[in-house]
Amino acid sequence: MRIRRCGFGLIGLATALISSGLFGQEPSGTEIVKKMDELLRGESSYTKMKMTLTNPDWNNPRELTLYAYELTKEQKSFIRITYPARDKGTGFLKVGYNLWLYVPATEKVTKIPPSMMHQSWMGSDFTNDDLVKESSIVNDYEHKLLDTIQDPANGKVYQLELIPKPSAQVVWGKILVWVRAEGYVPLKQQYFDDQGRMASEMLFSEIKNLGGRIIPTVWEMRPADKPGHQTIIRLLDAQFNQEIDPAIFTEKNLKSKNY
Amino acid sequence: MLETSIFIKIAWRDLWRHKLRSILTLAAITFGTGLILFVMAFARGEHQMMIKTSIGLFPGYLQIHRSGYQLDKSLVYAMPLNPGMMDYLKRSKMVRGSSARLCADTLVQAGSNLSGARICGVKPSDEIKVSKVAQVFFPELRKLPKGKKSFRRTRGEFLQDESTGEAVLGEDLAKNLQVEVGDEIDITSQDYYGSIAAARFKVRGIFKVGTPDLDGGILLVNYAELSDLLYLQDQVTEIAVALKDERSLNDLELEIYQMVSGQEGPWKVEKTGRAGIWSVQVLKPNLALDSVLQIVDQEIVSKAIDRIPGVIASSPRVNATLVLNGRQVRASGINLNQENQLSALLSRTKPALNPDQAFAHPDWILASEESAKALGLNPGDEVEIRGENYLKEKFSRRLKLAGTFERKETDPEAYLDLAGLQENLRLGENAHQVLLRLKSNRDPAETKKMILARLNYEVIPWQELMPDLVQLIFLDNAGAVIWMMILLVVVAFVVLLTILMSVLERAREFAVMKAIGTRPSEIFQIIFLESFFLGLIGSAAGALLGTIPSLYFTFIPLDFSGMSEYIMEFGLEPYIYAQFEPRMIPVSFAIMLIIVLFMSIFPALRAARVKPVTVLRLQ
Repeated sequence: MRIRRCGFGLIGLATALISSGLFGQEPSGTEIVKKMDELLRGESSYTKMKMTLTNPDWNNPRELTLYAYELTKEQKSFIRITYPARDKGTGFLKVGYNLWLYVPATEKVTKIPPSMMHQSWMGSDFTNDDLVKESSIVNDYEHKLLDTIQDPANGKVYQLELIPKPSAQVVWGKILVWVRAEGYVPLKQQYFDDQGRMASEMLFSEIKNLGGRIIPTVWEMRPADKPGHQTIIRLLDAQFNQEIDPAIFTEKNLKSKNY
Repeated sequence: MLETSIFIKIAWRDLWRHKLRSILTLAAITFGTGLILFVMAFARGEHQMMIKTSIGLFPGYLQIHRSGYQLDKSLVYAMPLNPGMMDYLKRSKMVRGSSARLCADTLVQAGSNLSGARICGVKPSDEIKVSKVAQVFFPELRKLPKGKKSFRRTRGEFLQDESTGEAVLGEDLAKNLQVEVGDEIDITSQDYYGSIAAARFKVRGIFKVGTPDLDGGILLVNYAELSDLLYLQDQVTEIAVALKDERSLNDLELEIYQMVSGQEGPWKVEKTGRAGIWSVQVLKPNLALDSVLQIVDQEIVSKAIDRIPGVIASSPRVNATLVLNGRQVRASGINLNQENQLSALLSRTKPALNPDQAFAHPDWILASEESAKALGLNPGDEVEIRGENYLKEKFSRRLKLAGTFERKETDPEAYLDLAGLQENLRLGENAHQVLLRLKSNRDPAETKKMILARLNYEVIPWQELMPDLVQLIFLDNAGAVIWMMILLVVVAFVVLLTILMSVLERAREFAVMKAIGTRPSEIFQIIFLESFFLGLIGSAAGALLGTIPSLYFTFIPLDFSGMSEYIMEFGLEPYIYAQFEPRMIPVSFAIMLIIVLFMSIFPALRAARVKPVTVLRLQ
């Protein structure tokens, strides 16, 4: 995909002109998903966020703050928790499909084994696996534009259906995506299992300028099988396509706490 | 008609006319009976030992949990440590010891070696009374037969009651981590809220008890240290109980439920106006009383209901206020079969419906007669329902009115399919309410307590804690039974052959008897009596013969060192005791006697049917 974008830029441009400009048609499903994915991730990113975890068994929701660095192409990311005091300093490093954990209490770096990948990440509705999974939403799925909706709040909205390619190793049977036409901002994603039952739903809201991009700044994750549970991510700060020191993505940095 | 005593005399004399044949037959019967008895005693002894040893290693004869833990061994089902319960267990005459534990899955790391394990926080002095994993550290607690050496071994020492940041682990786990007594290990786990909990412990002791599960997967630390680490102060996940006698298992189970029955927990249990029907609703204190999220996992609650004695039927429900063709109604999502068993709903429904056809599609709805009338609806009409889920999302669906029902106290104004309504309300596989129909007409206050006890706690006997063991015993029993069958078939044919031979040989004798007026039934009687004597003497002798080795091996174990691999899988020592029980004598005796009598029917018939004319003429 990347090669074509660089090497055959002219062809890509021409195709874009033909498909959307000249004939006034809608962009293809794949283009929409690609643009949406690019918007939230970029080549590299730095984000600071607050996570609010709600569980009906708890008296109060829990809050976490953390920052994350990501190099999209290299599939590397780094997360450090800054609040609450109990979890402060806990760090995660992801390189490819591997995930390492650093805990300040024992000053140890632990590689999380495959058996723990499906456990909840820090008590949220995300699993460790969700963190590690390479964003395959572009490459591993067939994208079909189902519908174009006029929404009073968001204007034109594309509704897409993502079906995994036969060769792809993915957990979902289907993903439904709602994307605002203006700026390709995601609004909602619904994940379905192999039997067609909804497994979880992610809602995006409070679309505003952050780090030079118009992006949703509140992401809400709700698992379908656990009513009342939800995880809200609030982006506090974001920078895209900045130079990031590659030394951040090392075990040494996990321990040294420079970042 | 001659007197029976004469037949007895004849039969007895017949037996001793052919001494060798009779003695050989007797030997077969005796030997067979003896073997049956010995196999029974041996299998019984082996199973008792398996049970005693396996459950004594760590799980306990029974465990007390908060209900739900057995399905998903997660910290979510931790329960407050109830001092009253621990006191009760300490005082109970049936209990040898009890240990409250807090257990969680964890990663153990030493240097660059990593292994998964289950970590349990225990009170060391309690644990010693319950599990071999602790007892094995104390040689004086081990009772070994003379001259036998246990393969169980330990290095270092067991935990102390004071918190010292030390841990005890199995030998295989220690080997994986390459640690020795005195080395440090790091554990990484998730606390109650899901946050990462990590701590460093020093290895105080290493045990080997024989089962890979325990030797390779368990780590014991002091309760106080683990409960702080996991943010679960004064909470435990399981209470393991060791009994003095396995036979008091059911009694203790009932007593434990009785003892916790005073607690309410997050439930509202009440008797409905209909006889025998009870309603169970969820009432979590941290949610509003009427919150839509007052829900419980269907699977957990159905397991709890299985443990309530005398439940005839149960029906889970989700309840919602829906708008049905513009009119507000209270509706319940039900599983039609379960509800019908509970309240005979279909018998009150018009028109009469065939459940297989009318409810094959989940788009059915049943409305009460009044609601249908108010809405002007007839069965077969299409209706629209609208509603809102807990996320304030609106939904609507078109359904077909399958019928109308006569409303009783437990009924809402409309019923629809459970799974469909759960999906609309986005409640997953959870229910708001479960209705129960109970058999007994016991005192309502007692019944309520009985239900509450089983909703709040689960008492899990060893059979459920160790389903593998139950299966192994079953397989082993099947093996013993097959072995016995083969033996019995052989003995049966030996008996058949000898009796048949003696009958054929004596054809002339029977012909003469018949010729002088003996009836066929009388000849049948004589042969049958002969076998009866053989059976009686043989079985009695056999029972005695079998008792001797059974008793011997009840006190002196049979050495199995040769196949210790297989036995050690279950943590057994490589020697096995038989267990002789007096009731085995009449059982083996009766089995053999019945076989002998059965096998004599054919020869006796043969003798009775001898035709004097043919037999005598041929001579």
